[in-house]
Amino acid sequence: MKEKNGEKVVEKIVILCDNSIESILTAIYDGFVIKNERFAGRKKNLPEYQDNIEIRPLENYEYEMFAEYLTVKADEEKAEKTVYAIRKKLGDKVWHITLRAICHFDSHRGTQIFHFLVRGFHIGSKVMDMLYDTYVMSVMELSRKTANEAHYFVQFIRFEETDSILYSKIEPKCNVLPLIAEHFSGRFPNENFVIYDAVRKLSVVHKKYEKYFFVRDSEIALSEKNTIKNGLAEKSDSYEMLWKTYFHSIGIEERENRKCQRNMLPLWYRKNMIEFSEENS
Amino acid sequence: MKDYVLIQPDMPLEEKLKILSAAAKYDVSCSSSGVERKGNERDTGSASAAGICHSFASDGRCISLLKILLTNECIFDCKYCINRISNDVLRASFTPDEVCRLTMEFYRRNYIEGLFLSSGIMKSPDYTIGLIYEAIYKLRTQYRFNGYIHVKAIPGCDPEMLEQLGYLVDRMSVNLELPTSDGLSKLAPHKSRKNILKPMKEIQTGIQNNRHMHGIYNKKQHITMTDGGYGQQKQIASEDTNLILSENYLAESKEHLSEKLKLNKVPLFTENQEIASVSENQTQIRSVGTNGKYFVPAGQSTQMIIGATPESDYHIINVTQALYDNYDLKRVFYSAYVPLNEDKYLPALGTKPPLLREHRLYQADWLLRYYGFYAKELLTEDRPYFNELIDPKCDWAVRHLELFPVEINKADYYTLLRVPGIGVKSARRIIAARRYGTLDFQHIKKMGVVLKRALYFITCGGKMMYDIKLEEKYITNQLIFSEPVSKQGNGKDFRQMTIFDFIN
Repeated sequence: MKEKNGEKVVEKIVILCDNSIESILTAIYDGFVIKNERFAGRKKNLPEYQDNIEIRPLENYEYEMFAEYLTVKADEEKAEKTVYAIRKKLGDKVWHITLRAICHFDSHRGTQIFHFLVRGFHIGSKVMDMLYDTYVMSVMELSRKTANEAHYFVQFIRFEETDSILYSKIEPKCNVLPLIAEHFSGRFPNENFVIYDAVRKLSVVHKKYEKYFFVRDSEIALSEKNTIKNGLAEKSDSYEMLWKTYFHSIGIEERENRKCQRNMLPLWYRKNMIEFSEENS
Repeated sequence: MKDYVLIQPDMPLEEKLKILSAAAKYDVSCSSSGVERKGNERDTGSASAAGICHSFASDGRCISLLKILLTNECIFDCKYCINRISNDVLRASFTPDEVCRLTMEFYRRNYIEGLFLSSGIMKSPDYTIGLIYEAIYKLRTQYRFNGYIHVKAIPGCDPEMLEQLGYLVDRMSVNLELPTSDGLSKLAPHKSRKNILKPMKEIQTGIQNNRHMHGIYNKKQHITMTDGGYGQQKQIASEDTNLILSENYLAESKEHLSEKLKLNKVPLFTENQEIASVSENQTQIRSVGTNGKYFVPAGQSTQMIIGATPESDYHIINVTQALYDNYDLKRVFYSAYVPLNEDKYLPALGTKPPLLREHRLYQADWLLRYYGFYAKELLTEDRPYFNELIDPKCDWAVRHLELFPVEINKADYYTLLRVPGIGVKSARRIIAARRYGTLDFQHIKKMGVVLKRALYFITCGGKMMYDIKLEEKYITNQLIFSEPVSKQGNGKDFRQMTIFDFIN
């Protein structure tokens, strides 16, 4: 505690949580509880409020002096309430921006989203246009980056045909699965497919003509993955060969431009793409 | 004249794919954009208005569609084409089922966004379009493919056939091939300008009637097909637009700017008589009263070969403008000519394709379509070529310094768009953000404005970023040397930089 203008001001409050979407939403809920308890009752909420609440991931966090700490665990009810409040008061557009920003990997995203929402609940859905505000701008940035990566995966995911299902393994930087599942289930309603995020050990499972769902590794995906692997090893897919043929014959040699190719399709995304498998190995 | 090499009936699929994709690769267009169609919970496929690229080939071009010819047999003898009848190349044809299976299997594995089917002319244009129709019909109905399809319309084919095909595909294109009819008659003796423009006009009429039937009068609006399934398409959802960026607002801004530039009302392009004069009574595609079907919902496009004939950029960009004005094309593509055949009318084999020229033409093309520029502003008869060293927009701006600097916090949308370094996105962001506060250089930099180019042309709150003299030579130099100097250009038009440039 420190004295400032005769008032007691808390230096910094840090809420620690894990990396899942629910935990961050829970932390935001608790952040607002703290903010309302300690900083409410002023004439206008925003100007006096010091932006001194942080939401950080528990993993690899280095503790500081002069800060108050609080650890939260994912709470479904609190998370749902947060989502409801955002959608109700700020609209679906802001909610989608928030969700995408949460899916980013930046360790400061929680803090930035929290302050973005503080401004949002104060101003309304117009908060999206306040790009001169650093927090608003950085949330928009995070959201844009995640959306871009999600789009990359919509473009570059490759499914492998196994006996019964289409299977794809990805290693994204952001948590893109929740953002791309809808696209693929809309596109392939009549297919069984699994997309497996090897970084987060999360998969999305879609069964023919049914709604897709997410599975954490420990449950179904592990056993399924093993059978999938066996299925893959057995036979080589003739359409994979045809695709490689097509990929090589469609380029015009006289116009070869590897730099442009790398700009459009960074090497990082190529590791699980079948047409680059020779270059990778 | 040689006969074809006979098709081997038992040619393996891989071999066919190799031949027929290599034969199709000189078609530039590969976009899968222009129509929004969500999945229908039954069939394979959907389409996204922005288009999705699925890979990038060694030449850096996107691979969005499975781009193949149905057959590379051809009765025509176009001098620039690898498949001309007088060339001794291996010929192959797909069966409709092979096309369908390839498309479906590639699509399921997320390799492609759809099919781009073109063809050499086999026997006659009508026969060829019949083959194409058969393949597409099968793909849509039997294989129940709901993804993106782009077909080439065959010049000289039956309009009835074209209309039927139009209901099954998303985009159609007819290649203009060469910017002038002189060039065309020299290099493509079997094609005539009239035969190319006629189907283009027919498709345009069809699209226009169809859009009106669906209640869409705005030419730029994407069609959103809400009910998939090619049997029963019904409704269109209209997009709600942000008030401040409404079409009216934008139109006003454009008019305001035209006045300022003394362009007065720019008449539809008429100098190019040939293109404007395709007679209006050739409107054989009816497409009204057809049960809510969509006719070519993603619009039509065309392409021109650059560098095979001696036309100037001025000529090409004017033809482009005429095509946009008179045919409502979605895109005009440019294809830098890659010498494939030896011929006295063509550049010698081994000539490098004019890639930089093609690039500048594309930049100018975007200025026409999104930035409110007119062809005659960009080039004139005395200056018929684009500057190789700086892009067309910078080039225009340094020649019109009397209009600059522009105040970021006040200028209207189309004025902002004319500032080098400001694009459609950043201009929209600026307009939205400045309602809530005054913008500074740091703010607009974060919004995506490229200050490196823009700083010579703008003020924020009445001040320029640095103390800069608005002088054409000086700014041109700065623009050229602050961006990576292109390897293909030579700086001979510009004077060597001296230390005095930096002291002022």
